[in-house]
Formats: sequence, structure tokens, C-alpha cells
Amino acid sequence: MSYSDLYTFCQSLQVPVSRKRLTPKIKELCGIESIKVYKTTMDTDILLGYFVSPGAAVSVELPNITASVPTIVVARALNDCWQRFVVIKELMHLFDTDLEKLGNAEELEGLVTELVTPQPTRSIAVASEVTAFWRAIGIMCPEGKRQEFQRLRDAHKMSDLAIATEIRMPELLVPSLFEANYKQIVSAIMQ
Amino acid sequence: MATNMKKAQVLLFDSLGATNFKMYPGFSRDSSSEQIAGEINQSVERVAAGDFDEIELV
Repeated sequence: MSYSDLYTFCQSLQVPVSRKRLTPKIKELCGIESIKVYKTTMDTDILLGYFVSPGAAVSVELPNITASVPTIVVARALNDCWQRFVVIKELMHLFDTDLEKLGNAEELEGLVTELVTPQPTRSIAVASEVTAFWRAIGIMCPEGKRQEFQRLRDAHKMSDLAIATEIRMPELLVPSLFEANYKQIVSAIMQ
Repeated sequence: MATNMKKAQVLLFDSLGATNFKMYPGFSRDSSSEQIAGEINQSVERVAAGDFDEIELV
């Protein structure tokens, strides 16, 4: 499985990149048969969503969360663009390496603590959150389209809201596409 | 006592045997670890109780 294969695949897609085009490719690349995505009530000040990969043999059966089926839960109150972004970002965790996977109680506490109080250096778990964020950004806007948007944006002919509307990404995140070191970031997240 | 965190740890790793868990924090920068863990617990319980809408990706 390789994010770079997904990135290459997405370069030929039209915007907005369809999750119905993305998902089969992600499943193929990651060798998984099923992914469940649910929206439910959450306080969006506290949590927007999460990804959980249940083990092959769950010890306590929780309805709707099935052994070995990766599951994403997203806040119901988010608007469509935020919901879409959170789901795509969480899907990117299917590309986590074994080292990046968070699979025990101590690591969970470490992740949550570090997200609340950033540390001088990032843990592997938090670094993988950042990687997933950029991987989602990278596949939502093919590079040719990004460059076209950049020209229009630089010429003040296209607003961040207009770009957000076209690619169906939260407006708040659109400036990420035009970071000065965007290409270096994309290069760094390929695996 | 970190009650919510302990509960989240048991829920995710003892009950579900999770092999990976990642999250997208909320919009406020003032949330505590306990609040985040509490929100994880509540949302897992809501899903288990059938309080959800499924998003079809394919």
C-alpha cells in the first residue's frame, strides 16, 4: 500500500474529488474490504471525529463496530465540507505504518495530552496526525488544478471561498494549498 | 482522577482491541484531555446504541 499511488491516481480526477472514486482505490491499495463511516452527535469544540481500527477479535461486542472493520466517526453538526475533510483525513490513517499506529492505552493518553499541550518535539502519533492532514489536502486538489487556483488567487481573481466551493474543502483550510513550502510538504508525505 | 481517559483506554484497547486509533481535535484550543476522552466515550456509546447516520462512501 502506498499513499504515493493514491496521490498519482487523484491527479487525473476532476474537482471536487469524489469520495466514491477515492474509496475503492484506497480499499484496493490498503487491501481492505470494508470501511464504516458514521456521523453522530459530538461537541465540535472538543472533537470533530476519529478513526478506529478494531482488532480481529474484539473482547466486548459493541453493536455497529465490527472486528477488523476500520471505522470512522465524524461529528454530525459539521457542515458538508468539514465532514468531508474530516472523513478524508481519517481515511488517510489507513496508510499509517506499523510504527505510526497507536495501539495501546499509554499511547492514547500520550496523543491526547500532546494535542492539548504541544510538546517541544512531536511524537510519532502526533506526527502521523499531521501527515494525515497533509495527505488529505494533497489528494483533494490535483496539482494542475492547484497551480491554476494559485495563479487566479495571486491575481486576486479567485477568493479562498470560491476555491473552497470548487473543491469542497473548508475555507479555513484553503490557504494550506498555497503554503510557500507546499511542494516540499507533499514530497515529505509520500511513502 | 482521569476517569474518562481510563474509560476510553478500556473501551478502545481492552474491549475493541484497537490496533490503531487517531483523532481530529475540535475547534477549541481550551479542551482538556478529560473532555476529549469523554467525547470519544460518549460518541462510541452513541454509535453502539444506534444513534448515528451512516455515510455511504461507495
